[in-house]
Amino acid sequence: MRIRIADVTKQYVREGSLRTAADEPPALDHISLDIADGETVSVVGPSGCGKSTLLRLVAGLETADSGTVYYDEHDVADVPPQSRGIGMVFQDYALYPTMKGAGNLKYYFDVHRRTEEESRARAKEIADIMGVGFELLLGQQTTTLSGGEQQRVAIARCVVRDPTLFLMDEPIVNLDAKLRESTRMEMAKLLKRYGVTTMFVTHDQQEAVFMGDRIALLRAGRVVQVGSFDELYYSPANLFVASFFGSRPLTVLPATVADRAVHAGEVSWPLPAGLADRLAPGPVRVGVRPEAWRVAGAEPGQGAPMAVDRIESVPAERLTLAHGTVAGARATVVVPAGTTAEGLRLVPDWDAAAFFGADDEVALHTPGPPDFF
Amino acid sequence: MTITATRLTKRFGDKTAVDGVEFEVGEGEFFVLVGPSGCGKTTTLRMIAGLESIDDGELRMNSVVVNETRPRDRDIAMVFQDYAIFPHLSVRENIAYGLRSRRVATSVIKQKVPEAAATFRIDHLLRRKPRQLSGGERQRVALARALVRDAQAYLYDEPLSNLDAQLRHQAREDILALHQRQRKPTVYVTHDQSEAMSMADRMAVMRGGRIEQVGTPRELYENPVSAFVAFFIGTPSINLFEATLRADADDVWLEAPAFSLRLPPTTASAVAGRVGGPVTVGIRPEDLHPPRQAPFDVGEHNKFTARVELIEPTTAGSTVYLTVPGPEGDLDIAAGFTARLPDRFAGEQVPLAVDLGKVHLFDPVTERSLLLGAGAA
Amino acid sequence: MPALLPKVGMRQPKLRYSRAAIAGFLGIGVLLHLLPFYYIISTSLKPGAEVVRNPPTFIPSAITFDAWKLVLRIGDESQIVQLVKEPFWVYFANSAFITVIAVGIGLPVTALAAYANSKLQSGRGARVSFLFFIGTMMVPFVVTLVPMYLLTLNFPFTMPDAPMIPGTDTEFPTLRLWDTPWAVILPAIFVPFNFLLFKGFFDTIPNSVINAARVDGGSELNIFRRIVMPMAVPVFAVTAYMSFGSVWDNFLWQLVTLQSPEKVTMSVATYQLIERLSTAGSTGGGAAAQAEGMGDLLNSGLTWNGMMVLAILQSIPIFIAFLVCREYLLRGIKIRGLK
Repeated sequence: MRIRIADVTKQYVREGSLRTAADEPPALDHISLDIADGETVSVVGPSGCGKSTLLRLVAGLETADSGTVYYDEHDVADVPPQSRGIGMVFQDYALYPTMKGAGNLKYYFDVHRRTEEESRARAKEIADIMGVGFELLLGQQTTTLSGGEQQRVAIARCVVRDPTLFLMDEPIVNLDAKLRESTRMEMAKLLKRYGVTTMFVTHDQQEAVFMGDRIALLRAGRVVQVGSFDELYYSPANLFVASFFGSRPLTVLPATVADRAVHAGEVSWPLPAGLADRLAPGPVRVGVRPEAWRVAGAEPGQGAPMAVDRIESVPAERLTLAHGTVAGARATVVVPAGTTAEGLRLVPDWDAAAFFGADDEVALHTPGPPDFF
Repeated sequence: MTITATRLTKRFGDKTAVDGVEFEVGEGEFFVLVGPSGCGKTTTLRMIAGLESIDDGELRMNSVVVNETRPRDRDIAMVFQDYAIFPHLSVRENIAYGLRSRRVATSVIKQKVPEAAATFRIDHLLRRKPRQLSGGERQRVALARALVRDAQAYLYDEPLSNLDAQLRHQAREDILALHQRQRKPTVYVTHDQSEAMSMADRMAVMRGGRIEQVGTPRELYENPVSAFVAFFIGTPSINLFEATLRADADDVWLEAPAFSLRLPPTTASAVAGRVGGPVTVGIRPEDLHPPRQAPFDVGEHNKFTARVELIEPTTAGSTVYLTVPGPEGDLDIAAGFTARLPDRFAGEQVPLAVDLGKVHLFDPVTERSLLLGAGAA
Repeated sequence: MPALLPKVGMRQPKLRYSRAAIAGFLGIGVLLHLLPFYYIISTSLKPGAEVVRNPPTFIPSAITFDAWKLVLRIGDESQIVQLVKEPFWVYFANSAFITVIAVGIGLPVTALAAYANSKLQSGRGARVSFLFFIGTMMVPFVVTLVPMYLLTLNFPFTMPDAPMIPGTDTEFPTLRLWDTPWAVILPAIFVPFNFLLFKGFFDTIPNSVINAARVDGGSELNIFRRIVMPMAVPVFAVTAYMSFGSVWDNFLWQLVTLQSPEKVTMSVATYQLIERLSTAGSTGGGAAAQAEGMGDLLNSGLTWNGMMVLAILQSIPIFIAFLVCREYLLRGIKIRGLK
């Protein structure tokens, strides 16, 4: 099923507030988003950006002040959540605490007056998909289950009714780091198997990249950018997008472009010809990713010295990282193995650096995806 | 100061939460306890803090047994997961609380509180109440409160787990900066191995109330003594699967259901006594290479094929999730490539070269490593 | 959740003594608390003469059930004097009927109101209705006593006489609740304090659980019945116990509204008994013979241990209610939040 969110706005009036609605920033501010049939879209953003509100709105648990949500071509404004045929997974699992695992799965069939046999047959089917030991969970009181087990039951409860739309609200954020890894894999497989349209809400950019065919980044109730990982990572629309994505922080250098060079603090770097033509002189902010630094040679004037706090090695990624400051900005830099903290000098890789306005955050130049092959 | 734990044990009813845990935290050492939830790491930390009584074993600080010393007499500072800052006190009073309760002179407090606040960039917030602060700022108040005391030891209970990813990096650096300044023994509890790996001087992996292994992050990563440690350390997780050892004229082979791998001589000799029996094989994702990019010769003896399921872009390249169909169910494999695998490979069969020198072998029953430590034959 | 009382360092002698001292102090408190109960029970079993002895005896010299017999035959005309008009069990049954109906209707109504306020209303509407409900707690009972009494005479008008329909000489049809059990039951149905308890509990139920049930297709009533109510068992236990106690033990309102002897409740009957006994000594004239019988009863001390018996009988249902509710209270407290 295709989901189309058209120009939706939603505003909460704060309880007890004498201020009128106009004073409050809207939770959702003219949001439009299109999810193709069978597609998984990750909706990601910092806390309070409205992503969960958007999800609840699609579920019918909230109403929009203006704008429309379409399921295929049907405006669903008047369809209660009970009849939308959706499956939803919540951050806190939201299992019915007084029921056993099986009762949680069965509730849907009970309220829809389906037969006991159908309910049991479906539960059995799901248990087979969910894998080893799942049937044991169904026999237990949900309050005695661990977080991971509870979430498996919650996911099963969502899948058991064969929904036409999956809505997931930070489903794995409360799990242990290690458990998160295996659970997200399990979910990715499940989504692939069912091919059901999915909206996946998370605040974790890595999770969003893993789960989503496309990613929508929200900030303060607005969609900042929608696209694939490559688009968001290599062609960010603004500084916010650039610093949101990436497993390690982006270094942001306040600088000035003048005389076909970048001047940041004490250092000046000449710009390559192509780039120098494209950038107007004036103050900018340069965004450099950890992997987009090059270690400069020993000759003076060739790169900015880095004040290193510590060197960290990450064996799983075959990386060595230096943490410290470059030209007055905090920086995490990927350096060659064996690099020492003394006398480290750095130059941004101009093919991979992005430029943003100094006052607004709008991207002046972005590198675009690199040539891998 | 040093902290020494000897056979620390804690029971809740008939459940043993911490079971004979032993470790030593040296002068100025950053020691991390890591493990899945319910492994006893937080209980261990609470015993060190004196918030939990010790049922058995000894806890020493500077070789003095402190089992019966009350928390307030231990001179430790602790940072909690939920920050545990007092909602009714201003930031200034929150930071000053530890000093005031120790009857430190007001003049000293007046000088030290802004200092500590400045360290964590919250000196402009001193008049605020906690509810007016963001999560990251609250965390820094908690850190400042711990710092201002000049305690003899620092304890952290998952201090970063309630923070957004963006704030976490900064807070991690803040904690390490504090540690650099104070140089006091620090015990840090987390469930996130990557956090542990990044911060620890030495770390202990816990499971079911026991310590599985203690060592530097690198030691634990490269030489795990058990399948659990191997699995727990590293993202994406190590690939673990069952295989049978088979010997022919010259070599020992690992027979997995869908492929076989020839063990290098040193490894082969270590497991010679187990030929014919089952083993658990562990291969790190980054030890799987596209054959053409492998830094070693690739042949039939160190290669197998798998179907690409999912390609996850990473900054360093890509993590590729694959399956090897087998007669007894599919085998899921993760591989870390230094280059991006283009999306058109999804669903394709691709060959993978295995760096056999870095393969780990474990006893399938005891899970102990067959190549290292006491488990080696 | 481990207890917060610090155990570390408790083996130090200094702390051990202070802890023993605290325990001893608390023990004395418990004893003082239990003493009146012992005294009630022992007095009810003492022979009449011993009850009025001074100084009082702590242990009965002989155990007798005279007082119990007296109370159980309290309405008999065959007794020396007929103390009250009806046999004891009539009052007991009146109280039981009123209490069971008031609690049985009241709890669901209060719980539904609290649920609606907690989960279905939001924003200003929720605040206003919350204040409206809670506001009723602010008005002292004595202030509403007279208006409420008037209300029971010609419900729904607060007047001694029903008003005339304008232009006719017929009265508005009204409901006379006064001197019926409903006069006691209806005001006891909505209990603001229970509302507060329920709302406090419902506020802790994560919205996501309700939303999950909605997505599952449950109607609002079904969600309340199948999901919310089972979670709220402990709260139902507490509120049931407290409502039970307050209706059963209520006196003033029942005295005001119930007049016919056969409708009177236990608490009112007990009061009337005391009333009659205390005036017995001074009553003269036509009822001299009866007063003399009363005087005999008083002198024998039987009335006082009879009072104790009534006190016990009055307490037993509440005690039973406590045992029943406690069972559910403990069984139900398994619902925990996240982590």
